[in-house]
Amino acid sequence: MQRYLIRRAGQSLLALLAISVITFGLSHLSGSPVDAMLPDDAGPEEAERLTREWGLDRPIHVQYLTFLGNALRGDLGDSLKWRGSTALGIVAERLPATLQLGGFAVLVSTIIAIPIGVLAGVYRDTAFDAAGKLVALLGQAMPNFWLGIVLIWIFAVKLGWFPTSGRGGFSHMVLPAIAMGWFQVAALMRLTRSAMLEVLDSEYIKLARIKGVPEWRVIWVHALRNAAIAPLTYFGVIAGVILTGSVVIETVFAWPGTGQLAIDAIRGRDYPVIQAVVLTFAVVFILSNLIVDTLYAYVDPRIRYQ
Amino acid sequence: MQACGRTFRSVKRIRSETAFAITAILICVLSAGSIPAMAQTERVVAALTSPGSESNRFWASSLSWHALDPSLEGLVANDPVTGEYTGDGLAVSWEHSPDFTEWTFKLREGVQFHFGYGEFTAADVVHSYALHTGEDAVVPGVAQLRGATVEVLDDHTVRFVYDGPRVEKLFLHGGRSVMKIYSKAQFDQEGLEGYDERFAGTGHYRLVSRSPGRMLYERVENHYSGLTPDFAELELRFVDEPATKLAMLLTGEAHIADLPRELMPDATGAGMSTAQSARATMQTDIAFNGLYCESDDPACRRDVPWFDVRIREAINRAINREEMLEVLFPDGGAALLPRYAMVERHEGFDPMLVERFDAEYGYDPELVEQLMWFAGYPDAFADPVIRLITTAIGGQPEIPVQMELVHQYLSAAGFQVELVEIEHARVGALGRARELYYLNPIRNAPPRPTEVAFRAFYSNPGGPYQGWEDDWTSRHVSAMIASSDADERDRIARKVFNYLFEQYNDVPLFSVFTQVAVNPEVVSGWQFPGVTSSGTGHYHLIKRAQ
Repeated sequence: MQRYLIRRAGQSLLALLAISVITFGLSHLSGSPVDAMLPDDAGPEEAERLTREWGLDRPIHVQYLTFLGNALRGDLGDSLKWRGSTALGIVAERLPATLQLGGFAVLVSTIIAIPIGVLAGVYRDTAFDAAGKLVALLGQAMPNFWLGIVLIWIFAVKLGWFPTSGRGGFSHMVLPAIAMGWFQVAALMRLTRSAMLEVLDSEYIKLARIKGVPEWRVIWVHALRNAAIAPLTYFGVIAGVILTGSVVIETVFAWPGTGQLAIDAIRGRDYPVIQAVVLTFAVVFILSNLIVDTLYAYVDPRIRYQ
Repeated sequence: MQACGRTFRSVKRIRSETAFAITAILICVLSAGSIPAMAQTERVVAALTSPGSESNRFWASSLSWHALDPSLEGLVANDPVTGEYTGDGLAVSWEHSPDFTEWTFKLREGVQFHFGYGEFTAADVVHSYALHTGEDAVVPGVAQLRGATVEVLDDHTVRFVYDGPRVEKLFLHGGRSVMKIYSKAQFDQEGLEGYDERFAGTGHYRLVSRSPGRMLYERVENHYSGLTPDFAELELRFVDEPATKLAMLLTGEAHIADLPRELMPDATGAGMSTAQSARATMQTDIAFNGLYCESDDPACRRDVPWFDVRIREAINRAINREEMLEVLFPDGGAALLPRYAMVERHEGFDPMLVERFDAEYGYDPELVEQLMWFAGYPDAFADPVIRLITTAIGGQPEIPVQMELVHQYLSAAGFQVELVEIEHARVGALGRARELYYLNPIRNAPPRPTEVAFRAFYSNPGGPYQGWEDDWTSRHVSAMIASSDADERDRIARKVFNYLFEQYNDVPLFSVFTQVAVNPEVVSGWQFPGVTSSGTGHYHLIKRAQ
């Protein structure tokens, strides 16, 4: 296990390096931040001055190596747009909001998807199963920005149950979490359903039933525990999708997290902040996958890491 | 029937299993409670488009006026109705040398910075000038602010000395102030970090807290102006999604929202009212880019169709501006613009151009046909395609629709037209590199004093977005900038406007007012002149509904 974790950590570092190269290259390909920052009436002299000051006149590989050297020391540079703040500082300030919303979205999607998936497996080919599929289909068919606006319109404007936007108490999280998490419901539900179908057909479930174990216990304890392995692996993917989904949802709901920050940084071509956001997302994604892989071994004792 | 029976039995069996899930969801929903229809009216909440940067360093951001305006002031105040410069602000009076190279400001005595940082003096002006002309300064107009020696004549008198004339010095310190006044005492005690944490200004509101997406201000009770804002607190919420801003307004979470024009009817239809700037805050036109034609400049493209003045006139006359006005601004808030950069209260304004506008720029498809025939369009041009830039510009959602309409008009007139989508920042970069060869919608530029506009748009190498350069214009604009004789300057400016008018050097479209939607149950009115870059301002004049 220890060797496995060390190997995974090494792979993760390589992945981060590759991500940093791609992010650095793509953000520089999008154009110069000087163009985004300068006012309309600024002439070429102003552009040249800022280009020099921000070190953008140096060859791109020199810029990257400088960035990498600093990054290894934990310094991702100063924001070009939020003057007086470090890129990492801004991301750190916003990350808790994103993790809070993302975590709640995962919870919401789990609460919706797992029971529906279990019951759809148990009551295969019934109206409930069809309804579950419909829920899943809707989740994947509706763009999350549109869903967000519709949710605001119904539950905030018309019914007045929830606030429209912003970060505050529990009630502020409900609508953005549903908008963000519904997309995951489909995949999670279908994985749970198919795993349940397989498990319910196994010998030990039949034995449990013959022994007279109550049906709810057979389904929710014995069957679900084993069926949970498949959806569990998917939680690693969910983490990534939730983080990327935050970019849209946080903008719609004015949720002050890293997703909204990413949009602002991209608009302003704030390279250091873009890199800090992407690398942070990458670290969260890699860590969550690592946690899922580790949990996997505990959930299924047959699995041993070599 | 059998299928129905099976379904019913299935539902019955699963009822107990799903009960807990349904209960859990209901608990979540009900525990959320409901939102009060109206927020606490001691606090007025404005949902505004995000500023370019959520930084407290005004000089280092090009688009943060509306975020910092409630607290930070420039030297010179503006009348809330006329927009004229007044001595009601930090500077009570000013004078300049005959050649406009020296400007002396008499500062108001007894003005206190927020949070007890002491009295405002000339030292704060010197300090703020240094901040706003530093290496990291990117605020628009900073190039014209730079180059001064700032002399302190006494605690409340300060003099700016320049090498050359600065006729429009007040513009740099008025509504669209390039330079806000920060406290030197705060800087000495806390450095820039102190500003980042909580800056001290001299405005009617002082900053309470700033968090991502939100700024909270509280009113200053004994402000030097003698005016106390109606609302004890002012909260700015930065929201980019227009539908969300409308929802905030309708639910009472916000009382003011800077909605795009297409959502205004939804707001007014739901009982909201509008507050509008006293004056037009923006001018829209379409530039004929790529006419870098001063002294045989190699960047001058003689092969683009609009190099020919007849084509420029034809394009102008192929557009039905009245119709566009109805489509783009159905609820008003805009008027026809006879000449870009020409403003009634500024130098060079020529009422004759306003009178001539309809006759010489009016919609006339038959004349367009003749002009195209005389110019030999399309055969006389190697590349007759006219490329129109369409671009998304924050806060100006009408631009893509506007360019679609122009595309339709030009196509209908027989021009070969192509819409090209280019990011706004990229347009600026191409312009600065003098490689912009398009018909380009100039962003809704705030009306500037004539000299400032000429420097930005018609001087060589000019601003990045216009691209009109020729020897005649350059010579006259230089002569105007160099002159300190008011009559001569006005005469030259008028001549330049007439020349540009007759050259059809661009496609003037509209003067646009700034409109915000307000909840009339909370806000009865808001008088602002429209002199700032964002259009809004004078937050202390937001009036509470009785």
